[in-house]
Parts: sequence; structure tokens; C-alpha cells
Amino acid sequence: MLRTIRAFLWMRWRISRNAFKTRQRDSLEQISRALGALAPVFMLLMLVPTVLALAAGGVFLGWKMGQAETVMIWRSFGFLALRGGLAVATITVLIAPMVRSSRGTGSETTRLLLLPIRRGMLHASEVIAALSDPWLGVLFPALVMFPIGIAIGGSVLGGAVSLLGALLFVAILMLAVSLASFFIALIFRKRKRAERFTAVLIVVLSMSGLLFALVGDEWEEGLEKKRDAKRFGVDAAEQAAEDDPDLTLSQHVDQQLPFGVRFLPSEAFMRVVEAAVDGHVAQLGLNLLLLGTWTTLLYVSSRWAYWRLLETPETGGVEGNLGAGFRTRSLPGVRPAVAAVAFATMRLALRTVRGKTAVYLNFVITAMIYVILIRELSKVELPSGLSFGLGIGFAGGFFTLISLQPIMANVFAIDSNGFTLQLLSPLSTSEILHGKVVGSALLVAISTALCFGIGFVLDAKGSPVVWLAGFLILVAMFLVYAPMTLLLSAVFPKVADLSRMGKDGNPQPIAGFVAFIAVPLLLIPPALTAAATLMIAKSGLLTLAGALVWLGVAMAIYIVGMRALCVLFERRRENLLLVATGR
Amino acid sequence: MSLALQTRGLTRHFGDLTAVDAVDLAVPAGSFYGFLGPNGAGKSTTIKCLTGLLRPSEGEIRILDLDPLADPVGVKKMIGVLPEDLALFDRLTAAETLGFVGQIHGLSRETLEQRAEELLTLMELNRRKDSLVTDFSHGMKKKLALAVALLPAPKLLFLDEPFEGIDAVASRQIRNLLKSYVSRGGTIFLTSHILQIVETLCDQIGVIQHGRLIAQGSMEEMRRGTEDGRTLEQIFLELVGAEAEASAALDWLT
Repeated sequence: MLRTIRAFLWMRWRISRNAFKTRQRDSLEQISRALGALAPVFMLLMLVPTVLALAAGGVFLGWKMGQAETVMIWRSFGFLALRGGLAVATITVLIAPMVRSSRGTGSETTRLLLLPIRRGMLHASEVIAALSDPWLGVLFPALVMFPIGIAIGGSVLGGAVSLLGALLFVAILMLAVSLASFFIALIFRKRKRAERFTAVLIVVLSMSGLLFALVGDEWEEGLEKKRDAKRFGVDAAEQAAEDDPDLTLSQHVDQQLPFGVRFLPSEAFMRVVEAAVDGHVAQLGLNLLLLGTWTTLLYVSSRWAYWRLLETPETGGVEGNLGAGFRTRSLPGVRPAVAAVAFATMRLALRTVRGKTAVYLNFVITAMIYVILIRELSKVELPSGLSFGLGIGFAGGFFTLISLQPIMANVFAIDSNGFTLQLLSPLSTSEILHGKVVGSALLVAISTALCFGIGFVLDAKGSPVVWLAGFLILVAMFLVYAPMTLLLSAVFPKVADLSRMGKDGNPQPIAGFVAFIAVPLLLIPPALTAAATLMIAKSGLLTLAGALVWLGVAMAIYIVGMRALCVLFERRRENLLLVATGR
Repeated sequence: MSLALQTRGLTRHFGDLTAVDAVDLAVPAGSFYGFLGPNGAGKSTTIKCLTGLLRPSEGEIRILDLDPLADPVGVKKMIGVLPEDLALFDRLTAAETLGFVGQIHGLSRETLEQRAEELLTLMELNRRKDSLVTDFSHGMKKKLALAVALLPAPKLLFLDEPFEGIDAVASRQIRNLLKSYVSRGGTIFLTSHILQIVETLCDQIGVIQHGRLIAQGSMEEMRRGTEDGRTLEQIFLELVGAEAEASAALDWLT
């Protein structure tokens, strides 16, 4: 067993180390890959203070709990806070695999089956690997240090038993994370099912905040009622604790909570700690048994899910007849070869989850924002010529540029092997690059047109000249943004699957970050011009003139930028090819 | 004898590794040229240099009397390529892929539809023409990639392992198609590890090992000076010195 674990650890180390060792990549590519790989390291370094603080907090809290002279009420509140914290942590740890959606999904799992290793061993190694999950990694030291603090505080036996409970709770979390990962991997075994799942997840995550805002006042009232009820519950519990000192405050609070809550692992763990410190043997035994039962159940379930995963082949799913036939499309004023690249880029994006949601979700979100805004700002007087409808259209276009960042900032690598086809075809560098820009423009145009359309339907007021100026400002932003994202795509390419969430579908971290902050920065000059002309000069025509000037500047930047990009692309094409084809 | 493809001192380095080392190829127009070599010998790198995917470190290339480094688009208009990674967009359908290539090559709609229908029928893909490439098996992808290479009716075809992963029926159909293409004046530059197929199809052979071209000529020239009746496989193994290595070791293997 140790030999197998050693072999696995060695394999993972070599894979990460060898990622930087390839003779075929140029030095810029090596730097790009190193920076991409270092991003999680920086994240990890940022987590270190959190881990240390939580561990120190765990020791301190344990120490206070373990001291016999600690005031009862404060100890009870400590337990309550920990119970809440652990419940939130459990939920977070379980949601993380859904968003990440990559662990255990690859063909490497099936490849490992060919080795003379028992499935149980493979399963155990996957469960242990859950400790590398950042959320669990942050929680683990605090959970272990808490019982140690109890022991230091004077309750050595309580600390030892609490440590057993903590280890069982960590095992439960590891098994739960693994089970969630395996289930998601099973979903991802079928491409169409995976795409639907990801789409639903993106929609739910995007909409959740807005939905809360939409229900607005009712939600606030509901919260207030709950707060009152909670206050009453605590007061009642404090009163009950005074009446019956044999019961802990937590036990009294339990009476205010649904009965089933006490069976949650985080609750059972805290009851173990509480009972261990207070010496309630029966409660201790029952809750240790409950933790053991959870561990067994999750172990059996995760083992079953893992075995199902190993036996389930990857399939594409049933795709409807796309029925475009051999039809070719042309665009006015665009060469056929450029149009071919543009439509290929657009089709590829619209057949991925990220592409679909980036293009078709913005107008829904902007419409919801309008509904929220109109309630809050109905009495606000806008400068002459402006309207909320224009605001919706403009905001939609703005968010479209941001949400298309995974596509535009990695536009070569997302083509995968299709990129080779473009390099083998009789296309000049300029045609490839312009094709990519036009393809991105088509995506932006679809989404922005939907947003402007919904804005116009909801509030068509405002000056047509200002509407035109708003549209031209977006065009100008795109003309600068497009070559900028081409530059990022050429310098920081990364293999990405646009039907996945998390890092699997994201561009290289630096490219993604720069593309993300570029959009608001590009808005500043034309927005300041528009604000000055509308609010100080109060002239829609001046606003249009300002937008036209900015459009001219953007056009000049575009032309110069594209020429420079042609030179850069020629230098980078071999590396781009290697990345796109996954080498 | 006019040459469809010629290289002089073609060299490609990757860092301190020389993948292709001063290769002088001479592929006659209208010939079926088999480019052979063990794994890692430099076959695919050579094809990538010839088709413009990689820039040679040194040397000259002439393809159909054009310099691909000076006029890459002009050369690409006249060649068709089946590369090792198949070069297909995962999320386009088979029909859209052919439409994309046809549009880039400037084919009229009628020509595109006629050629694409014929090619898809030949490759037995016509019933799946509106399915995404990502849902195809490896063999289906290879057939589609071959259809893509043939669609613009190129004068020179580069085929990197065209028969690997293809079923016997399709393999036979493709072999007949390629023979017919050469008989009508086309030139094929093919790499394959299936030496029996190479022997039946190719009239010109080149052998590369460790990046260097170690033999080149017609089948008759390759057989000259050897015993009668020797197969291409025997000649190839002798050239690359593999027979002695294969029989030397692994005596522990029961």
C-alpha cells in the first residue's frame, strides 16, 4: 500500500514538474505557463494567514472551552458560533466540486484501472486527495487544533475524545467532497448532460443574487421576522437555561430548531465536543455513534459512486440534427475567407455552455436589473436625452464584453484541432485575425442587440442621437478591446473547454484578469466625455460628436494594433499550434 | 522528370534536439511517395515543415514550383493535408467543416455541394453529415479529415498515417480512390507504418531515421542489390537496423 501511495505521489509530482519541460515551447510560452501555474500558488500563499488564524483561533477557543472556570453562557455561545461556522463550511465544501467540476473526470482514472491496483486502493487515494481541496485544507488545521486547545485548557480526556470526533468529522467531509466530485464526474461522462448541468449551474449562480434583490422588501421583512424569532429563541433558551441548569444552552437552542438538524455531522461533532468537556457520557456515545454511521454511509456511497464512475464510459449524448448542411454564409464587405473563419468562431462559441450563456443570458439579467432599478430609481431625474432603456442596452453591451472574456481572451486555443485546419488552409495571417475579430463581433452583436431591444421595449424614451452615441461608444470599446484580447490570446494561450465551469473553461489567469479589468477601463474616456456633454453642455449632439471622435481614435488603434498583431502572430503561431492541439 | 516537391538541407531544431537533419527530398510529380521511418524518426515534423505548420530552421523547400515560405497561401491553395492530429473543429458538423473549407478555397455552392456529397458518400459519412465532429469515432474523424483534404481537388496530397484506425472496407475504398487520383496526375506524399499497404500503393520510397534521410528512390531502386523477392518490410528493417535489436533482448519474457 505504501509503495502504491509513493508511486502516486511521485507520479503527480513529475506530471506537475514536467509541465514546464518541453523543448518545443518558446521562452514566452514557458513564462506564460509558469505564471498560469503560479496563480494557484499565490492563492495558496494568500490562504496561509487564514489557515494560521483559524488554527490559532481553534486553539484559543478550545483552550477557553477546556477551562473549568469559563463562564457557562460564553462557552455555550462559543459552541453555537462553532456550530454555525461548521454548518456553513460543510455547505461550502460540498458546493466547491460543482463549480470546479473537473476532479476524477478525466480518462486518467480509467487508465489507472489497467494497473495492478485494487479499486478500493484507487478509491482511498481519491478520498485522501480531497484534503488538497482548498476549503478543506483551510478547515483541517483548525478542526485538529481545537481539541488540542481543549486539552491545553485542562480537559485532557475531553480533548482526546474531541480529537477523535474531529478526525471523524474530517473523514466525513473528505468522503462527502469525494462523493460530490464522483457524482459530478458521472454527470460529465455524458457530454450533453454535462452541458445542461453546467448551463443550469451558471444560470442559477448568475440569477441567485438578482432573485434575492427582486423579492426585495418581502425578503427583508422575512429576514426581520426570522431575526426576531431567533432573538426570542435565544432569550427563551437563556431563560430556560437559568430554570434548568442541568441542560446546556445549546440543548435549549436545539428546541428552537427542527429536530433533524441534530443529525447533521457538524452538529454531531459539536455535541461530541460539548459532551466530552461536560462529561455527558451518554450524549458523547450517541454522537460518536452518529459520526461513525455518517462515515460508514458516506464511505459506502462514495465507493459505489466511484465504481460506477470507473465503469461508465464517456459518451457524447444525443445531439439533434443541426441541419446547417453545406451552406456557406457571407457578410457584406467581408471577404469570404474572413467570413468563413468568423462564422466558424461564432458557431463554435454558440455550441458551448460558456458561449451560450454569455450571449443569451445578458439580456435577461439586464432586464431583471431594470426591474430592480425602476423600483429604486423611479423618481430619479436623468439628464436630458438619457433613458433607462438606453442604460439597459448599454449595460448589456458592457456586460457582454466582460462575459465573452473566456472566448475572446483565448480565441486561438479554444479552437483546439480546428486551429490546425486554419493554419493549413490558404488563409493569410490577416484573414485569420480579422476572422476572429468578426466572429467575436457577431457574438457581441447578438447579445448587445438583444439588450438594446429589451431596453427599447421597456423604456424607449431619450434622444435618438444619444441612443446612437451609446451604440457608437460600445463599437469603439469593441474596436480597442478586440485587438487587446487577440494579443492576450496570442501571448497567453491555454487549452480550455468552454462547456466547463472553473479553471477548465477559463483562459490563462493573467489573460483573464487583464481582459476583465480592460472593459471598465476602456469605458472611462468615452463615459467621461458623454457625462460632460450631457450634464454640463446638456447637448445630445455634442455627445454624439464625442462618441464619433472616440470611435475615430478606436479605429486608429484597431488598425495599428492589428498590423502589429500580424507580426506577433507569425512569431507565435508554432506555440499557438502546440497549445491548441494540447501538446 | 519534374518534381512536385523538393527540399534541400531541410533542417528543424527543437532546442538542442535536431528532429529533421539536412533532408533532401525529391518527389516526382504524379508519383505515390511513401515516406517511412520508425517512431520519432522525424516524419511528422518533416510533413509539418512542408505544409507550413512549422518553420524550418534551415534549408529550402519547393512545392509545385513555389516557395512555401515566400508564398504560403499560394502553396496551400494547391495542396491538401491529412495531418496526424486530424485538424477538425470539434463543434462543427461534418457538413459545416466541408462548407468552411470550400468557402476558404472559393468553391462555388454547386461545386461544394456536389463534391461534399460524393466524398461523404464514399466515406460513408453522409448519414452523419449534420452531427458534430466531437461525437464521431476516431475512424470517422479520419475519414472526414481525408474528405477535407480532398475537397479542393489539390495537386499534391500530404497524408500522415491515413489508414490507421480505418476499417478494412473503407481502407480499400480509400486506397482505390488514391490510386485513381495518382493515375489522373495527382501526387501523394504518404507516411504509414503499414508497410504492406505502402508496398502496394507507392512507387517512390524515402526512409528517414534519427532525422536523416537514409534512402530514397523508386521501389525498383530500393530492391536493387538485394536478394530477389524481398519485401519492403525486410528492406525497411534492414535499412533501420531493427532486426538485430528486436532479437537481442527480453529473454526474461516468458
